[in-house]
Amino acid sequence: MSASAHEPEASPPLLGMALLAAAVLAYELLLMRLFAIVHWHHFAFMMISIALLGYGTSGTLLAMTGRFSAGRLRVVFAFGAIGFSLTSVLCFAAAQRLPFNALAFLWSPRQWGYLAGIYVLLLIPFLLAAIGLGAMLHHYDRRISRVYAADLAGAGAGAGLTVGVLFHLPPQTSLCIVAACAVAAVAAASWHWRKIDGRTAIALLAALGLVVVSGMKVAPRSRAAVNPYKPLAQTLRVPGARIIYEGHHPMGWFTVVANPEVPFRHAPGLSLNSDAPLPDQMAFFVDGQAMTVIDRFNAQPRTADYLKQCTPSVGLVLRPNARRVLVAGAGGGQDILRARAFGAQSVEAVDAHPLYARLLKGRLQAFSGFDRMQGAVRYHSTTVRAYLQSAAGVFDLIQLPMAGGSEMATFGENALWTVEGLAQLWGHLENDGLIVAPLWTRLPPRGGLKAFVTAWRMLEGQGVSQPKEHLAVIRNWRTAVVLVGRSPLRPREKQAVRRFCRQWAFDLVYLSDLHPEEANRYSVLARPMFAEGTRELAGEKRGEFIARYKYELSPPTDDRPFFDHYFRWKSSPEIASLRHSGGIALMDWGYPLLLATLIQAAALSLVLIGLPVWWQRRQHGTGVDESARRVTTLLYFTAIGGGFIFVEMVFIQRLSMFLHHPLMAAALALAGFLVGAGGGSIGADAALARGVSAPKLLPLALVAVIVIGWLAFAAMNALIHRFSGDALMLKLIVALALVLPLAVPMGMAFPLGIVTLTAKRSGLVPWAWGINGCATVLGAIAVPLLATQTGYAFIMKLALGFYAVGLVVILRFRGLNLN
Amino acid sequence: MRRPFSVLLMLALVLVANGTAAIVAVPAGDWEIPRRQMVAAIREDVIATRAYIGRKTLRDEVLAAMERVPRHAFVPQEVMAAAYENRPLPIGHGQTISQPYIVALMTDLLEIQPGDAVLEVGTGSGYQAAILADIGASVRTIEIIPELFREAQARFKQLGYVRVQSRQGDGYYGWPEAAPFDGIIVTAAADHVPPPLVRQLKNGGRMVIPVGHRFGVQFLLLITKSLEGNVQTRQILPVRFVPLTGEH
Repeated sequence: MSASAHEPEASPPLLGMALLAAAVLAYELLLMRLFAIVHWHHFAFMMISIALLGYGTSGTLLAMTGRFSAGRLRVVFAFGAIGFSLTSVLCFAAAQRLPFNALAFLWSPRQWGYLAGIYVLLLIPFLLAAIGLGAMLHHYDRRISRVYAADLAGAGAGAGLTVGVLFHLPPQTSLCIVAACAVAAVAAASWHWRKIDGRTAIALLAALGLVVVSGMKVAPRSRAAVNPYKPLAQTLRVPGARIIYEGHHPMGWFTVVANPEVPFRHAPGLSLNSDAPLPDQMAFFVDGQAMTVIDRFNAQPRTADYLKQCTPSVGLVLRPNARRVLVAGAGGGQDILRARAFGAQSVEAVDAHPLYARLLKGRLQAFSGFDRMQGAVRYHSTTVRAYLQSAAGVFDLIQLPMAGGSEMATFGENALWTVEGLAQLWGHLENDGLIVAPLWTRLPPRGGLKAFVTAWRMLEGQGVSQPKEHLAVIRNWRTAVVLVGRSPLRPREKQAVRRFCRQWAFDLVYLSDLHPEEANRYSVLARPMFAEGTRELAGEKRGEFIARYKYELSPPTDDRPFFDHYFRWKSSPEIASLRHSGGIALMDWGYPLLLATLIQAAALSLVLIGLPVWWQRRQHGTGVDESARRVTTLLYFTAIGGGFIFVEMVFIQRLSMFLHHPLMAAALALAGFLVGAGGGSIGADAALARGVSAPKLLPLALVAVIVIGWLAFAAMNALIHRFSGDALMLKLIVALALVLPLAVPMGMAFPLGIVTLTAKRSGLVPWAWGINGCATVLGAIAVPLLATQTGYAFIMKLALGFYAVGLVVILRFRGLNLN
Repeated sequence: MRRPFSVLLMLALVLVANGTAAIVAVPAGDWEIPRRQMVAAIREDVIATRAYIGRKTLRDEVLAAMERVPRHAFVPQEVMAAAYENRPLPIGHGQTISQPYIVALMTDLLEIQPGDAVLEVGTGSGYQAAILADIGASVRTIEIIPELFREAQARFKQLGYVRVQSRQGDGYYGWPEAAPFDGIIVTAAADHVPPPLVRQLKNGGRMVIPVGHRFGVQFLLLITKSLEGNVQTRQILPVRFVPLTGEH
């Protein structure tokens, strides 16, 4: 079964392997983007995770059909790659036609059917590709390090290139490139095997033609298939609405919608008493949601009057004519206009998505009035925390974007709404500066209370002895605003807040001298839940209150940056029992849904891993030695598969805090780990070629992972502070210096494990490949579930613990002296 | 070799069949019993939430209307089997028909009397308007999506809801020529209450807005205008749930 037994495939076709691996990883990333557009991001995550079980399935199939596939590597590889090429496009198109609706998930059993249908459809391309890749590993088991290195290097390149491609092409069009890449993989392998003849060439051209045709059918469909309940789809149903600009970017699909017939009227926190007209607006969407607007600003004084009658203006009421204002997450610029309406002299606007600035300064300049604001307003395309690291000077007021309010955002990381994030903002305030933080509210209160206690914790961390004097909270029926002062709020400022609330019928929620009867006057609740909650959180028994509250209110930190995570186990039975009695909106169901996904994936993994064992026993029976080898293989590859994905995800999170650019962090971590691990795999191959024993080298590699991993993680926290304000290029070098030394021994663990555990039993190779794949999938689903509860530092400890388990397993295995 | 493939194929079929079983089980025929069961479910929900919604039970005429109006006639054929389940259902065009309990509660909160003028913004399938008309209100309803408007209009005609007048257009500015209204119901919440609608509310009138997404109402916003014209809002959590535990 090894290469030497089957000429002419004496050396592996590494380029073909790398191309197929690149195509598969690119496909995974593109599907994540596409399903985030069509549905919501954690459903995208869930679908792809399950679909990746195709890797596990391929291992099972290859383990059970070893005799058939062993002598037909070229056919199996071509079948897998060409099959992937065709089904990658077609299965996506078919999955789009299923009317899955995430919002109706808890109501309608048929949604489970649609979801299962999507799983099955997406499983097919991953399964086919994994059959091709797994067959290659199986066949070249004596050169496994080189083949594995090609697999990793290809996947790393695929990750990097996908991000690059998404700057220029829509994801649905990029699918065609991925599909073509898989055809190229077959061509490269055939060339390597010197098997390119007329028939092969015609077959490849035919496959390429089919890919192009199917791609042309699929490419224009992605917009139409957006979930009909997403904000963009709803907006486009209104007569007169049309998309006037559409741009693709790795950070999201960006659309601008205009409607000359039915105006947009986006005015969060507008008073019921408002008498001001709303200006014309255009709506901006990212991935069909996250709507912000751009107001037509024609320099008439009344244009922005309505903004003065909204809750988020309370800070500017206290700081009119501010010298310098920072508008964080500026989006379409409504808060820029608000600041200018209150006479702000200089506005620094920051948003990570570069297309906002490009449009406001470009084709929408006249509509936005941006041309009239030049000089007074500067728009920066970066994250707020990255901007603040290099920003000079301080601000009179920092206006944050609307936060909270979505039950879809459970696992969304919010770098601004952490104790450390707020501390960074606080450090850039004038002595009497203010942070103004508006939030969408839900009932019962969640986000507003969590924002309050996060600000409180930040103030304590800054050495403020009386945090209660620095805070104020107001609300209307849909929004709340938390005010955080660098200095204690003065009595006249508190009076100004009271006046503002009285004038526009907003409710006072918190002031240090608030009387209970002042709260809950205008938007009356059966009980003043917001005021009661903030009063408890400002009291001595804050910890007890947080512990017994039915939603998670603990302040988010950079280690656990999940502001929108409110799920608590202890409340879930009660909430679940109320779901059909008007209580469906009580549940933040992202968490239980992902848990259900994990359980499903674990059950499927057990079946996939168990089938070959059952099959083997049925065919041949199993000796004691064989059982021990199988148990060791199972434990070892589960440990290193889980460990690898845990480490990778922890580094993605930490590097996004370091680089303040989530996308760049993800691309760097993925590419760094995969390419570094590929290098490690080649290093292992070289060592084996020099006669070093795999069973001796493997424990050293695992010890290196544990030691270097621990050092890199500890160093990362220190380096984040040391280099936080330095140039991006230097930070990228530092990040790579952290990733690569760890990735190298991690890359040795798989091929050395294969050589050590499956020697002379190459039937175990695909099984180990499948186990590794299943462990990776389960790990990827488990990380967000665990991180919301424990933080990423704990995940890193778990990851190194996995490698320690692998080490123990290998040391025990060596002691067994099996044949 | 064939066995493992067939096992996997069966697994896939089981997965799909598991999800689709509920789709094909379509009961048909007599709607009276399911409708009564639906009203019984609403009564139970009301009893469970009485401390929150500010009433022990809903008015008899509201429940009677819920028992009379054929909800199945307001939903597409493909979800008709579920017409009397106490849950929202999709009606196409990205819209839904609300959960019956929420429809009943919103209707009750309006406190309308026979002959009252009621404005509905967002006709949808027309079910809410039919309930209001059944109670005796004179209903004007506005729908912005042309297809839904046409479907609802045909439905009103076919089912004989002559007290309902409908138009297609932008509901933000209400129906000024028919204002003021005793009750206004806005079926899709924006981020603010349209001021023109507040102005078109009669002194002593009530406006109800459900807040949340189309498959999950977070709370109901009740806006009341006193006889003197003062406006006050109440937020009503339509479920029995106390997040603040302990000494409150």
